[in-house]
Amino acid sequence: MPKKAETDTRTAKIRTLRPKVKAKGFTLGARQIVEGVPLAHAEYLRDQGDAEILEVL
Amino acid sequence: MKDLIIGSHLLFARAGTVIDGVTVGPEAKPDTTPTTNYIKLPTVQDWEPKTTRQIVKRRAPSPGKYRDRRSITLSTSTDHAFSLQEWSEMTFAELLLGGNKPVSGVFVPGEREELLTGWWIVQGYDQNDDLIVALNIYGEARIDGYKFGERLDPYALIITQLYSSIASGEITNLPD
Repeated sequence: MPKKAETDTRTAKIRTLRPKVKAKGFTLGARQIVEGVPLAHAEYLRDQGDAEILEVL
Repeated sequence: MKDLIIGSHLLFARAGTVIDGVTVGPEAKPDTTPTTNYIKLPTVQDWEPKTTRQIVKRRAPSPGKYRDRRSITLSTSTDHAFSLQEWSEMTFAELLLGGNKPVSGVFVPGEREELLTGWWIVQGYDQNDDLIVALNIYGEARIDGYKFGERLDPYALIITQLYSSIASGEITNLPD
């Protein structure tokens, strides 16, 4: 049996950089700070230039 | 004729509500899933959107009389007037009687200090049940009055749109 990959349960505090960014079930304006975003989604938003990661928890 | 909006839906998410740690506000609009994020207002009979503009005209002689050269819009304001058929706790206690959100049905009439504000979803469907327009707007609502009696008239709920950078609208099933 292949070992199941461990799920990364870490979350991030992000600040949006542009309007209409989607995170945590919300559509957000620019410069909004949101906590508890799953790290994978936060990294995706960072890579898209939609948000910056302020803190990983 | 395809562009008759014959049925409108109106949904509301209250500003200040905290959902999963995020507060609903002008720059934070909750998604429609889960469906508990929004409440659906009782049957919309009709919908009348209206945009008013304060315009100054720049004029110049051309010659012999002044003629319009340009209009400069100083401000715009968009209202949406809905006729609703049934009362809900929110429309009756908070909007008509000016109370805060009732707790187990109990509220103080007239104690509300601010208008009921939040995200409103407006959907307009034609007679074939095709979606013609969908709006996501941030706004404040009011009901100015209603006369109760032996009649079935709808009441008017008026939403004044407030600025949000994430407000949006989409037209579908109409020609360009």
